[in-house]
Amino acid sequence: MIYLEAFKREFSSIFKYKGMIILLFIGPIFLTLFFGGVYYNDYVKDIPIAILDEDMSSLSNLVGNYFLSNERFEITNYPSTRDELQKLIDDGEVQMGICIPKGFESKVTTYQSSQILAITDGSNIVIANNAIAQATLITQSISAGIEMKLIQGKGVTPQIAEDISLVYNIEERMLFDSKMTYMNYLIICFLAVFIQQLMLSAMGSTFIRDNEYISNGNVVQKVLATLSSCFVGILPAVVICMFILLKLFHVPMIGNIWTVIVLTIFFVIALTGPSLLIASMTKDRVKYSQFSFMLSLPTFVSSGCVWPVDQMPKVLEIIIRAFWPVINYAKVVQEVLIKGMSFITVVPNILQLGLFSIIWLPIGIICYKKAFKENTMKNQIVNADC
Amino acid sequence: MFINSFKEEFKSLVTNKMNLLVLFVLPFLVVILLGVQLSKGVINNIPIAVINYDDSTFSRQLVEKFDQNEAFNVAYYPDSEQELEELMKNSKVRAGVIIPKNFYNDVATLKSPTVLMIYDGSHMSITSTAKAKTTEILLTYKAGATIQQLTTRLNMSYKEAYNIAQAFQFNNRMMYNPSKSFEDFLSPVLLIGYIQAAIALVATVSVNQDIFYKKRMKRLGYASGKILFYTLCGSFSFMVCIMLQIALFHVPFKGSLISALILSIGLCFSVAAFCVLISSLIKNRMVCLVGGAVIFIPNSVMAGTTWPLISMPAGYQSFARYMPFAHYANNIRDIYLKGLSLGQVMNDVIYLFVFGTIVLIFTELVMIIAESIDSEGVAEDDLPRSIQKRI
Repeated sequence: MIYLEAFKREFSSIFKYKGMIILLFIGPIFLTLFFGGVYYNDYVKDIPIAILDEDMSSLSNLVGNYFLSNERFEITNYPSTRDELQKLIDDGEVQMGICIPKGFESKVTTYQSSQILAITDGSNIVIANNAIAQATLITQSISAGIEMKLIQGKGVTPQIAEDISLVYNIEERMLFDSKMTYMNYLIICFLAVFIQQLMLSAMGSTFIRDNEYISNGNVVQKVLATLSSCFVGILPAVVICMFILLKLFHVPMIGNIWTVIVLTIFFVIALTGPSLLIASMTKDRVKYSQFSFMLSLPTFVSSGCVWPVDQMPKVLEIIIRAFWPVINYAKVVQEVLIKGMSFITVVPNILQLGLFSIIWLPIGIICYKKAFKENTMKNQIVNADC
Repeated sequence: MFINSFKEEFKSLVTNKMNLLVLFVLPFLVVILLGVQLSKGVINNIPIAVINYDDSTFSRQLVEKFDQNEAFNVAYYPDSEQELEELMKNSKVRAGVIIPKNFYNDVATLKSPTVLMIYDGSHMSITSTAKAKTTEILLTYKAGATIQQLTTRLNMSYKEAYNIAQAFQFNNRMMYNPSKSFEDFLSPVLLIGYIQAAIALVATVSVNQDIFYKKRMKRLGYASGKILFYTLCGSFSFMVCIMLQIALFHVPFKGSLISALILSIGLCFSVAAFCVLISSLIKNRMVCLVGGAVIFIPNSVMAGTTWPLISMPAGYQSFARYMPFAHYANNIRDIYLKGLSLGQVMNDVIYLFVFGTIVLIFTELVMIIAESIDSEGVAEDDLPRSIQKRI
């Protein structure tokens, strides 16, 4: 059978080329370890902040101490004026400035509302969001205590004061990723894009290098055999990567692995059409690799991992779905693994990947046959002339 | 040789359409992709589910507060927590509000009931927006309820009750990116990371090793010509993309274009120099290309563009300090958003040029060592054995 013969040929060729071994075995593991290390710490800690205490009272001192003892913050400066505080933020010396105004304690204790002002450098949203969330928690906690004391001051018992102050409580529960870490948010999406890039490179290299063999005879079977050999080649590394994520980086994976495998098989089949098309257009391994590497960022950004798919303009979403399959894979796999999303829920994504393959695989094969048969014929003519 | 090398690259750019595509066309398309995709800037209409076990006017008004807020869309009213969790598991909703039974009565009789918020922790950008907005809504509503209790139970005036419920307010003023726009935060650094990768993918295969080994006396000029060419190409590509971002997608740019240009020239120079070094060192073009890609594509993540450097393990922080992109990424974002002047980024500009110059000198030193190596055939995908040994 042609498929088996081609599979054996292409699979054994993986071990002949160091480039293929690097791409399929070392690449995924190296990249997983490298990117995983970046997000190894769960939180943004030691955010440099400054406190401008214009009140210098015991209450303002208490506020300062709350920030001082919080591990998310590191108080690096105590400016004496607002201009000085502003300059520290402008120069990027601190990410947040806490400003406690003059008369803060006297206003609060005499039933006149006061305010604490946080000035945050919003140029890095990740740091800014972390800083604001933590500062809000700290000030809420201080505010609740003060509120109770003020109500007690009106002659009510401490219990009633507490009950009025806590007229209702707000409890939070974070499902699937209780710490809401960047690691769990991004690393599986990264792994999906690594698989995409490495499969694209491995398949493209084979399609171009063995074009005389693949573009003649039963091209469909030979293309599928090439795809299968690369997929079988990369599987051990992907399994090791999953193990690294689970054991070394403690990524919670509760999903059904079979759902992930089905999605992955449909995804790599869907990648084959574009791979053939790029190979037909470039006909050169260096050019193919240049183009395919350049796809990593735009495809990752448009996969829904960073910016949610439902927040994209509808027209763009349709265009992305029509031209690249990772939108139906990266974020979906992350949600299957982290949340245990059911198979039924991902069926539309599998169908879309199938539809993508049905359209793009024949286009890819036709273009590939056309491009490389012409190439082979030209070579034969040149050889004959010689 | 310097001019010939420059001309050679120019000819190659004109004849090799892939170089044109990689250096200019794809970055332009990415500007459009990022601009259109992130055009909303902030996340809104987050689908949420509400379980209202109370069904009083008080609780219905609270639900209305969520529905009226543009950040949320109350999409489901499940009957149980299990149903809500199932909706969240299948990404139909990203947050849930559970209002307990007898909520209003318990508030009125000071029994401190609890409103439970459930979030989907798997999508950080959605959940952090949802959390911030939810806290705002619930705390405002809570303050209103506290004021009502104080005025009715303790016979206080509204003003007095307000001043107790809001003993002090915590106000936040967000500088430089007040709307917390993802587009303003991400698009400048993603774009330059992309152009950096483009330079790497083209410059790493630029050196013609035959010429390099034959004309020993002129190789510094040969390498410098290529470095200059890709420095100019990268800088030009980036400046065009900045203009497009500003003109088409209204990304705020508070700094001066000159500062951005000089900083970009510094980055492009250091990246081009490093890539020419790789290209000179390794004969196999595929290995050069993969090397350039592996070094320069991931390092935009390592430079603190999204996850801050201060939160990375110590080893990563130390390594990142030497990476050109780490001296560029946050500076260019600050030029965009804060209007940083050239003087404020001058130390990093100097670092980038010094880095590039040292690499250029190193390239020459490597060639002195390498010239004694006999030229040998390079097996496909393999480094020549003798170079492997020396490396």
